[in-house]
Amino acid sequence: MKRREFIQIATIGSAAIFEACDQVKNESNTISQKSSSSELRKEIASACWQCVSRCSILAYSNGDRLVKIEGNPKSLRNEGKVCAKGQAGISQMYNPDRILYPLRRIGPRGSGKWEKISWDTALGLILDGGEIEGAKVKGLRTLRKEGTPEKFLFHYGRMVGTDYTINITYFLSAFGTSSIGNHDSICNRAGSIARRLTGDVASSKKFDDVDIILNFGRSLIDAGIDHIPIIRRVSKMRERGVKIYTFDVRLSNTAAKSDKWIPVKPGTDLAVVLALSHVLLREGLYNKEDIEQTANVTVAELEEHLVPYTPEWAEEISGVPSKLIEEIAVEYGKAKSGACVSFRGAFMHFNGVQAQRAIYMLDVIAGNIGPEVRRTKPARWTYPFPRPEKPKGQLPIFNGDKGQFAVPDGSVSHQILTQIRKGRGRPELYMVYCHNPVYANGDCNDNIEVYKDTSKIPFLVSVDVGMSETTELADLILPDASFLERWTAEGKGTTDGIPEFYIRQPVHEPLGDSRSFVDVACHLANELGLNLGFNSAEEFIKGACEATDGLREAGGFEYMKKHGIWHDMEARVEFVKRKKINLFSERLAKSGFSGLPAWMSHPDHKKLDRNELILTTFKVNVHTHSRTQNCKWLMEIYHENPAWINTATADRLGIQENDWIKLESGVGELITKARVTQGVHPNAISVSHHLGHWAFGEYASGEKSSINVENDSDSDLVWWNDHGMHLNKIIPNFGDPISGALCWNDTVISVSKVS
Amino acid sequence: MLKNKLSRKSVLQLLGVTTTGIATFFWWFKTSSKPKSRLAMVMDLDKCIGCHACTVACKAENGVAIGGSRTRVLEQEHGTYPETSRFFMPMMCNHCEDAPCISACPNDAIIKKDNGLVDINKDKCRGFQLCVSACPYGAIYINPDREPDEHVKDYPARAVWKADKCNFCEHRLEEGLEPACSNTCPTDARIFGDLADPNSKVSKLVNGEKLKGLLEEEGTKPQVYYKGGMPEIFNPKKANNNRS
Repeated sequence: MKRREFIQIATIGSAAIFEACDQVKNESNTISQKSSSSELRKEIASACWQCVSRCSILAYSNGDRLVKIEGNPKSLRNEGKVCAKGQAGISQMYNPDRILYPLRRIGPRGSGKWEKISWDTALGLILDGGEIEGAKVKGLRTLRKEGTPEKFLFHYGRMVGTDYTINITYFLSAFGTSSIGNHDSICNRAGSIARRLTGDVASSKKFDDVDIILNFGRSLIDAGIDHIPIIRRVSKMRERGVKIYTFDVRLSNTAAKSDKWIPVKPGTDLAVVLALSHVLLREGLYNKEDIEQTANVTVAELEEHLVPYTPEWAEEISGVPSKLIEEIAVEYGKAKSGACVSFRGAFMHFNGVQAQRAIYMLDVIAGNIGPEVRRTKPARWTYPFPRPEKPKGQLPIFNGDKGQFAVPDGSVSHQILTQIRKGRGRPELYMVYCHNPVYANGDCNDNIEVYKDTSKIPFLVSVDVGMSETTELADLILPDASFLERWTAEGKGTTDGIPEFYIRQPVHEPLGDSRSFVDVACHLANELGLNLGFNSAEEFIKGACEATDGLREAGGFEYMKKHGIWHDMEARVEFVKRKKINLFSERLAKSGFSGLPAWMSHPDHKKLDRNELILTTFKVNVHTHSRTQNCKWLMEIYHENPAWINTATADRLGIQENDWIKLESGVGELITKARVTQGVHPNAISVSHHLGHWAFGEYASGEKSSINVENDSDSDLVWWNDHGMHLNKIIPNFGDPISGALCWNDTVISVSKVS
Repeated sequence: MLKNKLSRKSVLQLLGVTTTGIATFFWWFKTSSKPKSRLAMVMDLDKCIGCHACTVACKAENGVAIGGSRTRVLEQEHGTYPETSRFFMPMMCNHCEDAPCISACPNDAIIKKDNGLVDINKDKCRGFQLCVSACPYGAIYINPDREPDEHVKDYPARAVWKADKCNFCEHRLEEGLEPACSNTCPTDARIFGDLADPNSKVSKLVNGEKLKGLLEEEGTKPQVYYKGGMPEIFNPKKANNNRS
């Protein structure tokens, strides 16, 4: 049938076309669409855990097969929406390289040879020790008997909500170890230490109501830590005409969606921020009384401190035109209300703590951090089980070397392996939970050497869903339940200050022999005679639902299982007087740093050779740092990470689009492709995280892991060969001198074309 | 095709007893002279942030194989440093009024339905791929999965060696649900609706702002409309389409 004829017939409404339609309808039905529609729309409300945003979801199954994840419309945070990562959670659960059984190493560490064992055997090893390839290892019971419970090192990557509460606050405390590593210093540590040093820096304004946003290096809508909720808020703000200026080394999607992208030379946000403050004071765009009520300094002291930081000075350092700095400062100062936002781009630098503190200073001067705090009620669960005391026993491996960092405060996580290598503490049982330090820290090869050394780490246990670069070095692997197969209670705030309580409940039985580690921890506690008061995560969450005021009256656990979410609608936003914040930090001053935020220059950045660029890192919107690369739908979208290099720089170095280029740093070299772009600062070379796995399975690395179950016809359809490169291999484990946070965005590398 | 004479009863049987959505429109059209529906989508390029939530929603909803796609988001960079910009372009079947794929198919497997959907009859499709090259939007692909797993084999998108493309998630429309892509769009950049209903959001947007479709010069009369952004300088061939 010709198209024209078809339309003609359709227009006169002849029987033939109806027949055609109905025929199609009928024939289409011979292949019925099984999906999230119809009777299959039996939903289970749960919570995502692909990224830290933890949106509320609805999961749909077709028989026993989980088929779809959507956002839960009852959530006041993600409002029925969920991102690419969240929806790809299905392939996290079903990925063909999922670890489904406890495994014990046979052969040397990292040889990839495993013996499938029972949970009884696995837990017996953890409790009582035993033999791993002829070597004796100690178990938890022995460590307690010997009075050295702190030799149980628990090192986690991602653990929040009641997973954290049960594992750490209850189990590890009752056991007696405070040897707990996290991933703080490779994440946002410089920012959190800046906050700790400065005090309560909560804004006086509701973020959604501001008229202008200055964004320093935050991929707010690409990969924000509150991904979908913040996307929705910012989207609504943009519709309202809120101005957004994004200072970033790279044209992120956030920068692209801002009113203006202002490229900054890597590591110089601090200079721009100081100059913005300088202009506000110079132009009189401040309220003296408010500043002095808010902070522990006088305006006169600030003026004196900021004298040298002129826009011209900042232009010299950052490359941002002084006129633009002045214009933006005046616009910011004159706006009714504004907000500075920032993240790793601004503060995961040598000068990051001071950069973040300078941002607080800017908002104090601009009046956005004023004498009053807009205080919202947190979503705080009540747990009916008595908490064990926090134990004192801790291995001395969490602060780096003595005096290495001014404010280490017990969580310089990327130095844990270095400290173990130096012999500062020997964990008899080192358990890695939902973490991949080999891949996620800098200087990957060094990490591997430490993990392979059985004299430094006699017994390495990994709790994981996939055969990651760290897990493949373990002696014993415990197969964890994926986030879709377990219980957690979560709580977060909403835009309007309404506490949102929600739960993660299993939408499917754990596959294979996998078990939620939280339940395993409860089991271990029972075996060790530690009386936690509950026997499983479900029991704990049930207890919390019944003990939490308001929720109990609404129907408690049964209500939560049905709806997934409960809101404390009684909560009110309050404005309370702020305790003075420390723009001047005594602690920093005593450690030899400027008490007020002052310029710090990275020693390596002062003079760059012709072929030297500063390597910066970033995240994209379809991956988490290291744990989503087994999700086929995400890898199909983003599987290669060429180095972004400015067109003018590329011209200078004779590099063209898609050329192979070599990146060399002090700790190694890598070869990758060039992406020649107008969207990156000429002094920077920018490469995303996420890719270049050499383990973790076929979607992540292109190689099936030794445990691949070949259950996925899609794996034969993969049309890409490139799995990207992993830039952490050439980034040293170098922490900023104040907080110890890894300087992700400071490494100087030489770049050359590979002929 | 003409063997069975239609009665109202048989129509209802064929369509099922769905009371909402498309079926209702079919019935109306046959028994009255009320206007057909014209299902359409507006892509608000000012709002699209290129997050690919739609891409993955579609993959999951329709069981689309790796290597195939019913919808994707392209991106393109413009300008000279530091005045550089990037914009995002969600792409899918445009459900054209004059769809070149329909006339290109030698097997009459593609039809324009009364609700405006351009749909592929999988039983008639013989995988000749002429539709694939006829479509100026690159919206049609041949399912590459020769041996679908048990758990996906019933999805129409996995029909072996058949053409496949967006059908506005018709199975969802029948349940009164919106397409999977617009359902999950975090910025509400995808707006789905019926242009035959003058009060629908899409009608107000399309008529009010005189929105245009992509590559209108091809004469396809596309029913996916683009709002804002820079579609006038968009060239699908130059954009990064996530295919290397």
